[in-house]
Amino acid sequence: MRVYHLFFIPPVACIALLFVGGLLLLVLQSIGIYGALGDNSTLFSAYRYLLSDPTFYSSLLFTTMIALLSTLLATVLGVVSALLLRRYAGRGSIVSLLYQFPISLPHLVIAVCLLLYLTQSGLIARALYAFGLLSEPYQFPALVYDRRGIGIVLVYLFKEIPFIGLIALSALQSLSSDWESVARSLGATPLQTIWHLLVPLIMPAIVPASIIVFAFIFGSYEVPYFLGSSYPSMLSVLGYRYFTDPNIALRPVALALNLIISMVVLGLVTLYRGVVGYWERAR
Amino acid sequence: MKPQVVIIILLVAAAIVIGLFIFNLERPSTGDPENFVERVRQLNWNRIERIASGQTVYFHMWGGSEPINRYVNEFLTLNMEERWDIEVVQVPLADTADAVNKILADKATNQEQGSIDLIWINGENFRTLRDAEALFGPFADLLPNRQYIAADSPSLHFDYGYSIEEYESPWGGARVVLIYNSEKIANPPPTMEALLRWIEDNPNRFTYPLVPDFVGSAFVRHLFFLVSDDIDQLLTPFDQGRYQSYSTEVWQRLNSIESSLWRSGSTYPESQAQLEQLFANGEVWFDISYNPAKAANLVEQGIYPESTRSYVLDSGTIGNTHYLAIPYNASNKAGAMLVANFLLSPVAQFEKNLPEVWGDPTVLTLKLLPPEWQAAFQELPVHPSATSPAELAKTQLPELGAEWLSAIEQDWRTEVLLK
Amino acid sequence: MSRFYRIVIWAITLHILLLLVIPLILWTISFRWHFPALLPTHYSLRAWQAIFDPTKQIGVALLNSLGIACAVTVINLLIGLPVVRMLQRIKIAHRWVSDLIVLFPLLITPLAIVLGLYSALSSLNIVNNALAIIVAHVVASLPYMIIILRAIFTNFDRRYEEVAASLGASPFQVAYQVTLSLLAPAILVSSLFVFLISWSQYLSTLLMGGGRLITLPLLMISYAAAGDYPLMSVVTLIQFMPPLILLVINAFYLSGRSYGIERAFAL
Repeated sequence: MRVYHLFFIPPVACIALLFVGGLLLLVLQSIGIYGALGDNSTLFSAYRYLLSDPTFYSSLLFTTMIALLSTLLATVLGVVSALLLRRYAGRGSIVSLLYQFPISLPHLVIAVCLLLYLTQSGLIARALYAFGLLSEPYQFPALVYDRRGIGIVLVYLFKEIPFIGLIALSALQSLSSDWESVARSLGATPLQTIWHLLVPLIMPAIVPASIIVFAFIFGSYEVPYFLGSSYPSMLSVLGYRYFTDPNIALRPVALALNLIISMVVLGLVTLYRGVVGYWERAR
Repeated sequence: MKPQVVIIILLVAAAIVIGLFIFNLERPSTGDPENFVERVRQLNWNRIERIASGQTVYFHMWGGSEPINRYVNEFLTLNMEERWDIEVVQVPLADTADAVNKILADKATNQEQGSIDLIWINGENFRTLRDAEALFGPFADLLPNRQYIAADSPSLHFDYGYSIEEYESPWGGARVVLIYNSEKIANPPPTMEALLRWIEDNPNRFTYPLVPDFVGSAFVRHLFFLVSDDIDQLLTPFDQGRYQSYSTEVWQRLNSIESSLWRSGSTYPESQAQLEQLFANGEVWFDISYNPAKAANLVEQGIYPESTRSYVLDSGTIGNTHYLAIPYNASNKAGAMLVANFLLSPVAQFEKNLPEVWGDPTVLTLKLLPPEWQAAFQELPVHPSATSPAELAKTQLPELGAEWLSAIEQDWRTEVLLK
Repeated sequence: MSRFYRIVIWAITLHILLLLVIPLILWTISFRWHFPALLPTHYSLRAWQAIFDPTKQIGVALLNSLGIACAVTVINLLIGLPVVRMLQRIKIAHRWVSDLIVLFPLLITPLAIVLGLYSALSSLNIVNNALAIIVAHVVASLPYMIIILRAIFTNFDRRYEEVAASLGASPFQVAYQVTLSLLAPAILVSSLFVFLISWSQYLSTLLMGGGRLITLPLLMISYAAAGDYPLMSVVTLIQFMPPLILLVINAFYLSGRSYGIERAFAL
């Protein structure tokens, strides 16, 4: 132990305080051990409340659907666009820079941009009107503030396609191009090369990225708050609504809900790592 | 450029920005002295003015209207700064209930230093805070400009049937009006019954904001007046049996028009502002507002078309008063009192009443005002898109009691939204 | 053929970006723009003038957003750099400790921790101010700082420092000319990333600041809720600036290399 090591104490303490402390507070409050509570609350009453609340289940289903759909689409489109970019644009070229640009835009900014297109009197509806395809705004399908969450998915796609694409692209670039020439010389068509050779090779990079995307969307709040409909709402929005409810007995419920979201995400990652570990050992 | 140099330049830039940011943070408020709450009724107004000087008042208010925001951020802020050295910071809210919830949560966790100094409020929100003993008061009778309101004015005594007891100070009047585009609708439906028929004849062209938005719930409340033969029955203290005798029919009528609403009633606009947007875009053909001059403002801003008109139903529309209240844990109560007092002054009330400013009706009793102000109020101009005095002279319906409102809001969700 | 595809890809990418921005620009200069007009029917500079109008709070919000994001970035560096250097010293056998420290905070939703902290901070009376907002933003960004720094640091060989020191360089020279010079890209990339995370926060700002401190995302959403599209669009356009600067830095300074950000997210 050198004096030099003392410099590490404050930053580590900060992390411990923020994350371990924050999480501990969260757990204790959600169980009901610490914090202001309604009069007739018992331990774990927040969890019981949640598990007997039908809104919770509909939100859980809705959230899972949105996160799954966004992740699947983003992964497929991200990989496809990465393959195209690799083929037709160089690394560090302006196109691939522009392609990555949405990653650095705030989600809400993208939500606002899409809002201008997607409302029933938005630009798309106006363009359709100009072509005589509709005469009244209500004939345009509801894409934002809608019950199916289409607007929410679109915003996530805008951000997450380039994210997956970037990771796929750098995984592709680390491959030697010899692989492809061998495959070609053995008579594989380009599509066969991609499907049987490139896709399996970049899978180890893509799957974790997709899990990150799923985890992020599963717990994210701002886009569904802005573009979602009044019912059903995503879990995070439901949680925030509970947290700001005047009935502060609902606060532990909000915290319990957030803990459940985190646990789902953690469980998913643990499962993935377990599977990968098993796989590697088996080989 | 060497990479280290870039980093050092960026760090210096960051330091400058952080410095400016800290420098620009609101000056720390002087705050209220010890025991202000206990002593306030013994203090004379000059003393309160001296205490208030140097305070920063955080004014939490619904921020969905540009002209109202401008009135607060320009007229009010400048006057308070110049005359009393009080900094007013408007905190715009999407829904007043957000602030109410915050105060209630503070109360439940015994927070003594609240973030809200003054709140724009009425009806149910006021009752909720009063019931939780989360308001400062009585204070409204201490304000010098109270001299301009007749002591028997109902606006001083009851808010949605709930006794005020000087825990909030009147700010303005409100009246439900219907807004339409005269190019699209030549003869708007004159009564509630006719409006419901119009909705069914014109599917997808009408909606109301998701209850508990106050405009959304106002629309629903008008149906209670429609189905009841005797208005007085609605104004009696809450009784579940009587409530249900009306509500069953109201839910039934709302459900019968639901399929004719915008998006076939599958979803409702989240807020008044969203309804405004729908109307501005021509997605729906009616807007509902508590502000008789709102349409005029939005026409002037280019948001509503010039052919927009406002009117009151022959069968009457609901009117009420809106107020200012101070939370129990406000850190700058003296400053908040001064703001509430200034907003009651003839000059502030007149400015607010101008159609191009806000168009909000005054709460002052005209005959108590100095003659020059009486003349000024009587000669206020009328904008073609605003509700004319003749329209406003039609029957004014009272607000239902706050318990009625809670029941309506809760049941609307289960009986209409989720059905 | 490949030239054709190249042009198509260029066009698609460029158009997607232009399609994002052009309606925003049109809205900022529109006065009347009702359905079904494809272009505004009347124009006005009201929204651009609003930037300089002190009652509209856009200037204040910009300064608040920038100030908070800068403070958050600096704090992140102060915490992140030592922690990552420490993580590097952990023996391979104990890698799970480092994994835990790095991954765990990333997978707990930031809102959960912010809500947990909020109750504690509010009972200590330190909410509704800039400090509480900064704490919340640090919570949301620190996991990313650490994970990115760690991924890039794996390229950093400590022996450079030892060589420099053995050649007689002073500790300051070692730190400035060797360590900082080698780590500059890593620091730059992670700082920009963290800056952008703080820049885009909405909910944690609203909750921790109690609405007292207004930032650009708060203003944007409140204009959106008020249906004031011209002002909403101006505020949205302002928020494009830092990502654009990042794009330029990335193009000219980091020459398009991502310095391993993508590796950072390998689980």
